[in-house]
Amino acid sequence: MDATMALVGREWLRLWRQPARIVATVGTPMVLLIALGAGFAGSISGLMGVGDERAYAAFLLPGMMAMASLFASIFGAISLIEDRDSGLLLVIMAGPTPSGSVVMAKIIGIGAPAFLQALILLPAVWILGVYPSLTQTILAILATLLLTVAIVSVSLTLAWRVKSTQEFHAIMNTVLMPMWLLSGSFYPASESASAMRWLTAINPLSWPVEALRSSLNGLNSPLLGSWAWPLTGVFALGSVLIAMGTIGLGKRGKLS
Amino acid sequence: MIRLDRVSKTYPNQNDDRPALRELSLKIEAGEMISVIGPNGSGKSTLLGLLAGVVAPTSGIVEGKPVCSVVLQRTALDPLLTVRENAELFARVYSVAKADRQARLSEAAEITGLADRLSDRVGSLSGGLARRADLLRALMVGPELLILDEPAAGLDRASHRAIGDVLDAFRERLKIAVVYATHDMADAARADRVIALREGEVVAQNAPSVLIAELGYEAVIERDAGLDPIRCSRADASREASRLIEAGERCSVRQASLEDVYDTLMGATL
Repeated sequence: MDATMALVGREWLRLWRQPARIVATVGTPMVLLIALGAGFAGSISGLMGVGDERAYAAFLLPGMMAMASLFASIFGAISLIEDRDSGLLLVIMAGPTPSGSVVMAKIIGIGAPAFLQALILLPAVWILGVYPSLTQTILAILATLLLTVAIVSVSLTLAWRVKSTQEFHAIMNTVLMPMWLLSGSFYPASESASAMRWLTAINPLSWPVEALRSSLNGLNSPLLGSWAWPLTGVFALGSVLIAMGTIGLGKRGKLS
Repeated sequence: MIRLDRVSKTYPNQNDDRPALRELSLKIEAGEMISVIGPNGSGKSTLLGLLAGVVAPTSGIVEGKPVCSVVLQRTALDPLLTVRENAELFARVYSVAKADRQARLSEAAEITGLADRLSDRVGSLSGGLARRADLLRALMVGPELLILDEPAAGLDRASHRAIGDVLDAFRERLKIAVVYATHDMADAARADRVIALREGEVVAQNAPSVLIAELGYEAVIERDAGLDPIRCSRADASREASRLIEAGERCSVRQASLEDVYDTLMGATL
């Protein structure tokens, strides 16, 4: 346990010493929320048939929280590539700490700050005119937690599979960002074209985004109905198991 | 402490006829210092990986599991953390009791000469100091067996010498078994025993002095470029050198060394 906490503490110390990571993680979704939310305030709210110009920004918020979590996870997962290439991971895993604990330390070490960085955006919901109850707020926090656990685990698994940070950036642009774009973060998926609706529905990242959105507005997801929560749980648990299997049992790097 | 019995290793996608290691048997005792020499691809890193437990043998038996610490060619430390933070991180990862950590850190810092650099971030250290910080990290876990892959590769002469002194201190003060791969024969000669590998097989294994004695000559007379050196007994060396000088040749006499052992053993693969 002490070994796991030491590795978790190391991740937090690394983050603390790279403040640009925190600024980029929270700043970009915040700028997007303000720019898109305010920029399309009149036009999209009009199309949605609601009088409140803040409605589109409120709709965007869960997607922006997912983005904050995604960015934090991606930046954090790069440390896995660095640890593997420097040999740090190999010398850690040559020790008595079980590989599962090392992977769990990475998930917690990267995930906890990512969760908090996503959660920083949550209070904006009140500014945007949505007033969730205490239960709804707790559910939204839970959805954010599951979302982060899933994204961190996916990011770590992908980082483990690539050979360099450059390749990871390519994967980020071709896999993770499209997953986010197709998660219904910008658009109401239930109202989109049939093919897009299907793409969004089968995209695992849509599941926690829908769960988060439905928690905040207190309604079932129009796209996934009551399936949003079970699917979110499956996504989080499955991602953790895949990360632990892939990294824990994988080749730990080369001696030279 | 650890024994390898007829251990072979073939990596996936590797031809079965040319394994990375073939039927290697080896026994390492506590406090022993062993150097591993051989050309690139001879199986040195695979042997170190087997001893460290990060490479699984394809066949054969590995007996014994000493507390082991690995030092790689590259510095396996977090550059954003200080030397002290890295040392404490590894102590905790290797379950070193909290009460022992400070004493161990002080001792390791003294041996590696880093007592006044503990608060420096590893990323700000020179290559030589970072390598010493890596050795400090390795000591923090209280290893019984220390495995090093070319510990002085790429360092300047002063740093190279410093690493050698640190390794000597490991053996003399801490009685840790040390196994290291090296291409530097002067480094290799520090060991109690040298293991020479060629194409995955042990071609020689003995004390450096014994390997040198087995050459069959004690002195080497180096001659002008293009002329083969003359290998002879110490008694014959001065007479032979005088003859060459009288004949107008320039030459120098040196003692036979591990370099000559290496050239003899690896000649076919050079």
